[in-house]
Amino acid sequence: MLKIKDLYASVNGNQILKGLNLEVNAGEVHAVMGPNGSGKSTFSKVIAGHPQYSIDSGCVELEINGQMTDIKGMTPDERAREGFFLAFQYPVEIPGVPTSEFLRAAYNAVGRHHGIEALDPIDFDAFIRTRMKVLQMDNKYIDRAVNVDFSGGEKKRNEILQMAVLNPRMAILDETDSGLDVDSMKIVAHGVNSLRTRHNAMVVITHYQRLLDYIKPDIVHILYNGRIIKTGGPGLALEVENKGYDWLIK
Amino acid sequence: MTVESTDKQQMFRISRRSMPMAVVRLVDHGASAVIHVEAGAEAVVAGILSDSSVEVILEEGAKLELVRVVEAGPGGSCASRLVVTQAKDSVLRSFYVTHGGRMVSDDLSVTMAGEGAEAFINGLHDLSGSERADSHTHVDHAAPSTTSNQLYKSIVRDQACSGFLGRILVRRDAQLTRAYQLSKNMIVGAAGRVEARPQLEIFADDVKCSHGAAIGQIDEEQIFYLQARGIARAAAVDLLVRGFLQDVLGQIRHDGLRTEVGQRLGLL
Ligand SMILES: Nc1ncnc2c1ncn2[C@@H]1O[C@H](COP(=O)(O)OP(=O)(O)OP(=O)(O)O)[C@@H](O)[C@H]1O
Ligand SMILES: [Mg+2]
Repeated sequence: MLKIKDLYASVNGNQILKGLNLEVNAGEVHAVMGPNGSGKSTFSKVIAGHPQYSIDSGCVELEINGQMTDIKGMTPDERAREGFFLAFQYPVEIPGVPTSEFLRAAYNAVGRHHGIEALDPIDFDAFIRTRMKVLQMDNKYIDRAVNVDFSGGEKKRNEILQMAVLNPRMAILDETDSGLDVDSMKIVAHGVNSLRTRHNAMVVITHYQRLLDYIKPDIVHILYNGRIIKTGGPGLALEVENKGYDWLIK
Repeated sequence: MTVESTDKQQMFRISRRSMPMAVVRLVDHGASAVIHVEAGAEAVVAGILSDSSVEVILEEGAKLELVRVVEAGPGGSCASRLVVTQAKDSVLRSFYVTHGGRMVSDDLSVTMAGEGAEAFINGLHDLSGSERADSHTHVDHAAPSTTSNQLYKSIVRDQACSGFLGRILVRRDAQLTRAYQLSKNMIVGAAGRVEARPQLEIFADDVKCSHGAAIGQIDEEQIFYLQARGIARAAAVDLLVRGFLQDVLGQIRHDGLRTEVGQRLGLL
């Protein structure tokens, strides 16, 4: 589904990713952990196509129409329409743009690309309510401007609402758990799990085992200094929880 | 309401017995209009204009919402003028829109002659190509306890240029005046220009005044966020523009007119 080979990438002239390798297959959930500043968000933004981040070398392939395809030349919106999704660590506020309008624009943009008929505001409203129910979100949020006056946890929940609306094949969740209280995390994790199928995959970036109790990863990676320095089973996350990263870095 | 029209001038006299809140339409024949709202009466007046000169008289307690859309047509130029005199406790809501024209200017002058008068003076420039629009406002607080609120916003694309010159005069006797003015401008692309100049002359001492001008670009992090959800760049820019204009558009209180203006600007 996603294949990253020997990826070197920079932001503002600083090389942050230094030879990153990762392969994710359909149906899998991978967890990525690593100390602050190790490059986890950089990795997610590079894959999403953020214009400030540049690929120095290596390759990023996404499965599109059954073919592994180099996505380097694709704009962020093209990637999203081909089924890639990033849940932001820091969701962006967009004053003046109602959440409902934003979600509908996104849904229709992605849908149109796949030949799905656009929904008008009334039909979309019915659709979005079913999605919000799964995430136990109050209807009032969709009338507000995107992420404006949302609490930290509400913003994270809104990210997963967007994921539920777009139903991506390949998603990266960048610290979706940080900022969520215990109950919210269960609800959001339940929402994420309800979207899992044999045909999609996700990478979950987190600092805590707690999220992984609910979203069970098949494979756990440790990212340090721009590279994956260790890969293991679910037990690796528990080990990190108990011992920290020192033993891996030395 | 009584209407007298000649070729050159339209006269509207709105009394308390007039149909409440039906929109009075100004007809554009490059001519002038006088709108006289009698004491205690309320009116909503709208017009799609080119060159025009409008005079408004608000008697005590009168209320008027006036929406002017100026269309010079591609390459055209025009100038419009609005002169308002407000008596005690009257309320003016003026909304001015221009979207296009090589050289479009608007002069607005409000004299708040009666105590307790209130004015909401708003404007919007939506410019592209090599268009230029200038709005000049002159608010004269000539009586105590008068309030003016001005919000002007512009979207400047390509090499367009938006100018705003806002003068506020608070006379010596106009104590307890409140005067607020804000000019917010969004430049889409690199070549647009904005000239925003506030001018405050305050001769009374017990007043609250504020003014500000902000010039910003499209926020690339917001664009990225929208693109990351599958929305193409051009559509993302449109969404942000709409978001930027949403609050000023909301200053039009009449629902039908707000929708009409929004549609005319391609925002709805
Ligand atoms: N726009 C930028 N300009 C300059 N440096 C940046 C930029 N974005 C990130 N960096 C740097 O890249 C490094 C990696 O940052 P990144 O956000 O990817 O870390 P992270 O692993 O996600 O950390 P955290 O766990 O705190 O979220 C950091 O040293 C950071 O300062
Ligand atoms: Mg991060």
